[in-house]
Amino acid sequence: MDSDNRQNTGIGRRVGILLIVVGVVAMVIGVMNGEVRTVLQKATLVCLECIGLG
Amino acid sequence: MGKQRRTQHDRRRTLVQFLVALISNAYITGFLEGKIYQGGAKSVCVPGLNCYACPGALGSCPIGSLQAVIGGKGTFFSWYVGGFLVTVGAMLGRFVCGWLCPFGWFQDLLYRIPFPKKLRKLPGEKHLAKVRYLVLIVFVLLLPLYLVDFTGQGSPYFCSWICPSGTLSGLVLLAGNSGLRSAVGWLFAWKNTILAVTIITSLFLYRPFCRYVCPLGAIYGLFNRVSVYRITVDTTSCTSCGICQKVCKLDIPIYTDPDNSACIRCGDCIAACPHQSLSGGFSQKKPKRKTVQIES
Repeated sequence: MDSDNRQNTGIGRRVGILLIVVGVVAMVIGVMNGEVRTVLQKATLVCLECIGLG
Repeated sequence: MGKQRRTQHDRRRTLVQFLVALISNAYITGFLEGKIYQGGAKSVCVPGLNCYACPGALGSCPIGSLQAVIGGKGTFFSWYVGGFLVTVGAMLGRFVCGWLCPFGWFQDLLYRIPFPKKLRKLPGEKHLAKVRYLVLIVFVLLLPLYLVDFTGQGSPYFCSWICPSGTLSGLVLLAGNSGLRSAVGWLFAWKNTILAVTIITSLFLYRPFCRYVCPLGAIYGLFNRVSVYRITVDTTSCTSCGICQKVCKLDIPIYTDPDNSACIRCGDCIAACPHQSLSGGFSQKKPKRKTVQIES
């Protein structure tokens, strides 16, 4: 049982590392698509929806 | 000894939560003048739920940013925010909720206030815990994508109708901005009701918003089984005494299910284990086994 637990943990971590790589690649694609500008535009104006006014 | 270890652990976690909240909201001018930070750092998401309408916020809330991008005309997916969530989730899972989320810390502080009876869970906990996935799918993804105005723009519906973190930020912002105060209406009253319910419930139940509502926690929870940071049980020394579950304020049987998606990785169980059978970290520790030499 112990070895199973650790084996699962090891596999899980390897999947996690793979997902980190996928995530970083996706972020780079997002930056190249200009999504950062959209995020910045939204974040630098007072978000009326967030505070319950819009 | 065990109690001392738990106290030290609690102090360490509180310090980290305080520092993260402080760094995430370090724009002091915003608090003093009732305005928000508008610099380039806001193009970067913070890992936890920290509304960008907070006067002190230096970064962006990932849930707000996700809705902003997918709510845009002709956009169905956010590579940038999606990639950020996958990266952070795969690295830390819900460790973010336990250690790095300012709104989670806010609920932690409320739970410390003495109350006649503290509950470990609500009736129907199993079903209530699924509500956060519904919130994620409906309010964060589907409504911003499909309930659009005549220009094709969707609204951040989770922020508009639910998020109490934004309401709390709004109260701080409105306190210093008379122009915004004049625009208060029924939606503000609705959102303040949700905030009030969250605050009152937090007095007798640990982290109600994180348990049942938070879409960010729902996303990170999906990664608990594969995140690089994880809790490991050494089953050779674990006696299944159940002390870890007793100290867990979310009532999770961590010794049988260390990857539970509700676990916020607060680490209380690790500090409380009398056999030190639980460990949390980024590397795989070797089990503490007795070695026996066999003579041939």
